[in-house]
Amino acid sequence: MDNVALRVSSVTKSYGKRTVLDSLDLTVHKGSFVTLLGSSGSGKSTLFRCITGLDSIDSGRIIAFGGSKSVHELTSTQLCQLRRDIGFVFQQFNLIKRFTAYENVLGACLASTPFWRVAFRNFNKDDRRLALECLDRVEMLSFANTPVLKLSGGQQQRIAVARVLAQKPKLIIADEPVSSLDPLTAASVLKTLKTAARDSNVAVLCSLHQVELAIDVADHIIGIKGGRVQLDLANDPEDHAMGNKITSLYERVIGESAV
Amino acid sequence: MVPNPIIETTLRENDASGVRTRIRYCLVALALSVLVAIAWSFCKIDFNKLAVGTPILFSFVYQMFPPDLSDLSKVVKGAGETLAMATIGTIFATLLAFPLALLAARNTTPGLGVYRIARTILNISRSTETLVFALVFVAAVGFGPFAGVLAITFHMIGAIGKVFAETIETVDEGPLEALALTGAGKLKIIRYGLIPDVMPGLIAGALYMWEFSVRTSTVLGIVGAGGIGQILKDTVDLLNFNKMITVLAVILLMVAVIDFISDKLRHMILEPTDGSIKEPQFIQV
Repeated sequence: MDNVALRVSSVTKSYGKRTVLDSLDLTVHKGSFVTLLGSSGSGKSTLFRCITGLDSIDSGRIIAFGGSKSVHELTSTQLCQLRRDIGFVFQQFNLIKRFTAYENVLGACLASTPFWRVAFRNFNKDDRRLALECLDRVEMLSFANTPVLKLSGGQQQRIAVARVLAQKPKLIIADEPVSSLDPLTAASVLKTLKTAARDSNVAVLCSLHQVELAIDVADHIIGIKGGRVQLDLANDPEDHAMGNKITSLYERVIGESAV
Repeated sequence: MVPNPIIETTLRENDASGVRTRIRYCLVALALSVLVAIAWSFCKIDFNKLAVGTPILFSFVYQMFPPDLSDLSKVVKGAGETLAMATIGTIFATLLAFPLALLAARNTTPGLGVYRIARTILNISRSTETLVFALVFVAAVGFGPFAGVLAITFHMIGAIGKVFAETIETVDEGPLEALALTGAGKLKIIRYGLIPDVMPGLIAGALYMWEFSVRTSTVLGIVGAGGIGQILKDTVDLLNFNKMITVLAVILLMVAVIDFISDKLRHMILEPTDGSIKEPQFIQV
């Protein structure tokens, strides 16, 4: 139990008559990289919204970092506290376009900064150094003072990864982080996320469309369809034979051919 | 070729719906005509009166020349007072409208009740004309530019507040959700993420409203609320057309200059840093 970052147990969630998550179970161990595979509408984003408390659940439990309460039972103060430990990477990056890369990364320090400092935009030196270090870790330090809208999609997602690192989370959730990028950029951004997470021993739960990308980075691959886990496999990015086996299994079970 | 039954059916249905649409248009046109006729009868339209009055109008124009420039410095001073009233009134209104706009924007309001109250205040302020406020404030604080400043402030709170609230509501929500997911509170997110992001839009909106205030405040003097309007009213009362043309020319010049300055400033502020939006260009033939 000690090395579990996130445990989702028999979670069910419906919107009206449509069941999106159907008694779903899932475990993310500390420091591991878990990818969630499935086509659009398979319930991946809904699961993430439930884990971060943006949506409620109908039944089941979501326990983060060995806490005693499920996410949906937390008070709003406790939820804010929990969110500090969970970093989120979005498909559409969700950066403030007018701001520079550095200002965007600094946004991760809002929760721990007193309001008067935020009001005067006067962040303490440790936070400012941390923001620049995080930009360095995603190889974007030279763009620190560049407005985000001048950067390419891949560069923007690197900034978003830097922002999530500056939050010093225990778990990073990435919702289709590379699906709006071209294949080469996608692989390289995903590698950056993987390396950064491993270096700071952060667990990652990352949803992807393509099984090939998952095989390259994941320690664990979970395939979902119709709101249920259909596939739950350990993976070794170095082992190509294992990769091929997972690909064919994935195509058979989830029924979506790899591109 | 064998006729496709689906195509034939679809064609028939299109014909039928076309007829229905035309009938609907005719009914709407009929209803509008009735409304226009009623409005026409209220307005006591009489083109005869216009025909009789037109020569008088031309004689006014004739009498305007040559313009009387003897009191030009007084007229310019009046214009300066008008400009000052409009500027101070707009600044006051901007400062008061900003917090109200945060309460009246759907994405920043603390609650539905507060939202409704803030919207109501903005609506009352905006739908009361500056001239009406001027009449009230002249009665309350006496003749002079201060009454004008108060009138502009009270009307512009609503106008600027509405523009601000709408600018705030169009902000990209994604980045703010990203900040909320780091565990940051709403106030910090508004201060760090939202306000700097919408600021150029707000400044541009305030400048636009300043243009309006300058135009509106040229007539406030007619009810005694200071500025060039007072001088204009005196020339009309005395039928002093030579002087009236001077006053009108100064007003026109001032408004044109202010529009030009405000337009340039707004373009400078809203110019995106990547230069992706270009000035409209005349087509080169």
